[in-house]
Amino acid sequence: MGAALLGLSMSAVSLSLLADGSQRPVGEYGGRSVTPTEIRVLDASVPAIVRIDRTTLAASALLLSSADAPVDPYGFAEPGDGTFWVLGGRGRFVYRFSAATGELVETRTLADPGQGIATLWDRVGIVAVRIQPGERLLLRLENGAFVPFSPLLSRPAPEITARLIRNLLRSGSGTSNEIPLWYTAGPARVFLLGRQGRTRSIPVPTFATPPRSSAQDPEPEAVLTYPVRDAFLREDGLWILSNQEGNRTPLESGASRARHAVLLRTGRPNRVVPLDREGRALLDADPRGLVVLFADGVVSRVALP
Amino acid sequence: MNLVRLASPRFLASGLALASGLAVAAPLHANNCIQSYAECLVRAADLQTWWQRSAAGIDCYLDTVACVRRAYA
Repeated sequence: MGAALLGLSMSAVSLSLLADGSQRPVGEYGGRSVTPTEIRVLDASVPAIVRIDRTTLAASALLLSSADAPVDPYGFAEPGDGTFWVLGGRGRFVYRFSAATGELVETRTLADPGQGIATLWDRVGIVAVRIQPGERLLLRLENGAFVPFSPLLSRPAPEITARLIRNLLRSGSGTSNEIPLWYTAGPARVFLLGRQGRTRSIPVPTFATPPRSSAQDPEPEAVLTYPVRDAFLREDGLWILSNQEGNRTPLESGASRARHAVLLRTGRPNRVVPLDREGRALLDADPRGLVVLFADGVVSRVALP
Repeated sequence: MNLVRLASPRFLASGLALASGLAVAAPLHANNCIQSYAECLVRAADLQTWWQRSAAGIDCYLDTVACVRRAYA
């Protein structure tokens, strides 16, 4: 216990508040989790797990050390074994870091490289990189091996890079019953993953409009849109952070991105919250509003209008 | 998934053609990742052994996944 506390004190770094009371603790956002008392954010640029108090938004960072390849901003998992599971080396490896000290405790090489990692309740889930259509995208750790978990399949496309883009799958914050998943490119739709691996698909609002297709631009990725950047599921509704807004895709000059959060509730009208600048992730939500990580690295509360 | 098959010399040849073509056909926003992919495959194709080319081809693909993921996620 004493050694663990010593390690924590050596590897934890306090982060100060900005003048306006907000935080700028996150460099390269790499995923988050929410506990009863804190928000945990992977900052892949350090690398570190940034711990943000849910009440005060005061932050400290647990440095992750000793990995021999760069940590990927592909999410992280906390299966309750006292470690953070993080992907590294462009999805080739899983690193396990001590939650007490941040020290590397294990490296595993993945048979199927990962594009994402998340906690699926009490287990580790990995979104595999897929090239062929019809392959299972989501894997879960069972008895030491990653095995297919849900019916979500890789989607077809006429050539390899379009397949790559069409099969980027992301996950958000879930509840005790469901976890939201979505394809980065494609229709505005979120899949709610149940504990048994089944999914139900729900349409979500989008602020993206497809570019006009032309005979000179017949490639399917040319007409893809990128509607969802983040999702945060609560018992009383699903929050969505928009991604692409308008007809310019995220990297195009003049593109507008992630300027709205929307709360969807069954049987009630959607609640739209405009953001004054580009959002990066929804870190927390309660009936009064949101905690948003903005693209500039600032963490701050956004009240419901 | 069979990444090794993708990285075979046959794949590299077709991949080069695909990636080079896509750098023109794909929308502007995707070009940086795809152009890098094409250049990576060119470098991989220059390696001496099948195993070296295979490993390098896998690296190219995973680098492209990382590039596209960073761009759009």
